[in-house]
Amino acid sequence: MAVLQRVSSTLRAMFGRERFERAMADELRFHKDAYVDDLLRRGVARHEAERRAAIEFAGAESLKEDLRAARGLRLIDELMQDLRYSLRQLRRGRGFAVVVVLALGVGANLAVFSVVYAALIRPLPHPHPERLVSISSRDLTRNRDHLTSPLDFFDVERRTSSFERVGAYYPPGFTLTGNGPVERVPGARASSGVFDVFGVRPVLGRGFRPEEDKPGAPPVAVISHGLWTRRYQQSTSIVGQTILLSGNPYTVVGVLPEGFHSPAMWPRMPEVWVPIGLDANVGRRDTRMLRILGRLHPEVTLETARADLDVVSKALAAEHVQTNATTGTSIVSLSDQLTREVRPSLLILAAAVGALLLVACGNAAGLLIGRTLERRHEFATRLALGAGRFRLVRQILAENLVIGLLAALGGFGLASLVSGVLVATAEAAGVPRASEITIDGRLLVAGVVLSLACTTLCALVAAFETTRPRSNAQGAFAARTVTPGRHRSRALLIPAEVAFSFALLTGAALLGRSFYALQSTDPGFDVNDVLTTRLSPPAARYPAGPVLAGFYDRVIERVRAVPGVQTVSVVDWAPLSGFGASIGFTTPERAVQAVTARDLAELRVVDRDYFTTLGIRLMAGRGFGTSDRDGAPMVVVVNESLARAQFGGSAVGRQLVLDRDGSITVEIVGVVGDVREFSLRVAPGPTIYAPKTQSPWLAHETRDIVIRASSDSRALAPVIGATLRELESDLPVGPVQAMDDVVAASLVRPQFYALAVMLFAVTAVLLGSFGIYGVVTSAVIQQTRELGVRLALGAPRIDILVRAASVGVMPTLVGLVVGVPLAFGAGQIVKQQLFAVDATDTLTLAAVVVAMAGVALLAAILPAVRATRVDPISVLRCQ
Amino acid sequence: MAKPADLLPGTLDMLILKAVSLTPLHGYGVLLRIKQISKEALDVPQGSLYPALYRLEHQGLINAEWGESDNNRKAKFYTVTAAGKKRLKEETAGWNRLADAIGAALNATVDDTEV
Repeated sequence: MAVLQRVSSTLRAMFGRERFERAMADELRFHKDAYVDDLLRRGVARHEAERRAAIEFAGAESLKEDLRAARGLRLIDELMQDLRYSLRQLRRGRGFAVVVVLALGVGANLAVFSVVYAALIRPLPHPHPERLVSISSRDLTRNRDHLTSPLDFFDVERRTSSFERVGAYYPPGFTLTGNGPVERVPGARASSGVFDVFGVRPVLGRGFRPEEDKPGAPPVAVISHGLWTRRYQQSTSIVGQTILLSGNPYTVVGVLPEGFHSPAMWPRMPEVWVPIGLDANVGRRDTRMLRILGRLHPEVTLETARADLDVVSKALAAEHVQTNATTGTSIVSLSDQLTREVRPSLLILAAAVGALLLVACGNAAGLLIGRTLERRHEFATRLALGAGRFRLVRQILAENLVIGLLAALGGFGLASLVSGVLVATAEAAGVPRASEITIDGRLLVAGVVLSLACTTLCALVAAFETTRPRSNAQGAFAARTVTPGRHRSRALLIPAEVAFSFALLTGAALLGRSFYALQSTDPGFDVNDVLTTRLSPPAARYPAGPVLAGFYDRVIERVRAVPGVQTVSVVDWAPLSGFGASIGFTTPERAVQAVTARDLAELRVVDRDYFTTLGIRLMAGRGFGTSDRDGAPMVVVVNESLARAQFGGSAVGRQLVLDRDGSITVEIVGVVGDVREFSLRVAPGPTIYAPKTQSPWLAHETRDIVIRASSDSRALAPVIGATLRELESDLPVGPVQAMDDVVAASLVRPQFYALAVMLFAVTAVLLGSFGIYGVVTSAVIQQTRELGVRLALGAPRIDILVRAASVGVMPTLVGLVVGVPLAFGAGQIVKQQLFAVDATDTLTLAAVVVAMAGVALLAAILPAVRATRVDPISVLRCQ
Repeated sequence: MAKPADLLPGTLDMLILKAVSLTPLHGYGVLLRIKQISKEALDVPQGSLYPALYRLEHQGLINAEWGESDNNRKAKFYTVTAAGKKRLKEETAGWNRLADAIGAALNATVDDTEV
């Protein structure tokens, strides 16, 4: 209690400082006046009374100090003095530069950390997220994970024991009509286990029942809290009501809780959930369409679960040879799965920004050393005048505190400033959970800690340097006239800065070259003047088959009639859409052998004119034509990769056996060039193109429309959009995109990382160069006398230049040598992300060395030139 | 009149508490009151008085409030707090015990000492 009373008394005086001071002055004046009055009353003359009072209060100022001390204000006053002095010093000296340098380093680190935290570290928003796993089927011949067929999923659910619950879903979108505007909502066909896996219970109604996983499930739906609020005003009577999804009636049976959101749901969080049992393919083993999520039993490890799954997939491979012979299962923790793709890139970013901080720290330490050296005279004087050693130490600490706090604030400000851009870029670059990036108080705390750690480090280096024996008071005075020796730690800082900048620049250069290579990769088709868009005709009105085919015929007809359109075609998944389908195939020769594993190929179902529309090169044979009607001989077109791998080149006229409706035999009528279907980065694999005009492809859903314009496709885009919307009032039409924009969008991500690392690298190189510049400059200033004498004795100016510059050149060279292994290390770090560039690419390394050495030497030589302009006469006179 | 005696260390706080416990006083008043109740025997220099007042206020033993003095001037008046009263009682008791003991010791005669 007593302590509290005192603290509050001090705080009151501190924050009501002005009032405290005024009250103190008033009180003492009253005392003096009352004393004078008393004396007057006793008959003392006025001037005598005032004289006595003045004597009495001669020590008023020191009395006031005592009174402040009585309130505990003194320590605070002295601290404030230190801080104010530090600020003044900062304004004057290089302190401000230190703050800027550190703020840059800290700001960049905070920004990157906020991204890394949201994407990699922050736990998933579900109970016991560590027990959540993602399960995939795996193509054992190609070692690639893929989606799982419904029957495989049910076997996993039934035959494993490691999981509390497993759930599967796939993400169709729905068109929501009736009771409001037409709306396209993200949806999911999900098994009954999905909600249990997430540990979520409907706030209203129920989830799905196990029997709804089977064919013949009733048309029911569970909706999100958001949709319930937005469209149904949270009406509790929604349960039991019928809603229209893509034209079909569904009965709402449940509403999910508010805030239920999982970054695991791909590609977007569904707003409408319907049972998997409603899907036409739910009874198939050859249709791979499901994503599986699981919740492990407590205490069950990933390894146990993996072994458990292996047993199941081996059994399935034996039981269902045709579909499962080469199918395995893979399992990873859900958080690993979500971050797997982005983790290496983000770690590169973190490493880069960490290196930048090191360079910034080195630079700041160099500045602080220079600053402390320049002030040795001041410190020595103050010590000589009797200043307490503790007081000086305290002042140095206070200065570093001020620098650290200012740098933290600056860095935090920088991070907040870029946070908007950061979130947008991170989202565009596909960083998971980018929307959860926050720049908040916790980050400020992190910044303060980071910044203070850096300044403490720098101060220690500086203190080490200045407290070395030669920097005693004598040395301090002598330093002005005697050539100083080399400062060891400063000499270490430059190579360190150079080495880290060098490594950073190497990483950036490799990423940059890799990005350039990616950008100039031929996608296998002509992206110019091509538009693409996606239609989602409601399944109820356009059931797959002749009705849907007729619909697309009308679409093509209408679009082709638009002036400026050259050709139009449709395809199930356009190149670079990020989606695709695959099909098992073999050759007739191999098919007659007993049971064999099938090869997998990408399957694209296309319409006539597809190859001409996209400008895909026809290498041999022909494309699809009007003769390829239903009933005519079944034909396909294959890509070069498949032709080469299966037939050694000439594939036209050969046959393939495809896994479709049992198996069908088709004839190859043409070979086209390889197309990068998934992304520019993924090398093309064997691909089969089938005509949508023949069964069994008639029932295949072709969603993507591709259009070649005669010129200026972008101007045509809105016209096409309008034309499509005219077809039918409530037809959901996706955005009409120019294909080169799609390509550009796929490059955003590598571009983001390459640019970010390049930005850090350039900053680091600049900081390093300033460091070198500073060292050489101060060396030149300190050696002015020596250089003047040498000039006077007739030394050639070029010698002077070399001598002065060597202070910066030597450590630079050391830095470059030390930097080589670091640069190779940087190459290893970025290796995984490189495309068509080797991590030890000689050309890149050579270019980086030349650039780094060039900049560093320039930084050393520029200030050295000043040394040659020294006027010997004035130098000698001066001393 | 004898020359005012120097204060024993630690007694000033006690005297101030006593002075302001009788009636609210301003700083100059405290000075006069101590002089008066000690029958002019004790003189407190203002260089010690004010630090003591500020210390006591800091410790929460006395309260300060601005008010009007006799000649209508603004002055800061001190009053004793509950904690101050308690402290005064303790100190007085302590002082009395000490004074008795010292008095007894100084008045001792040969008879009182066992040899």
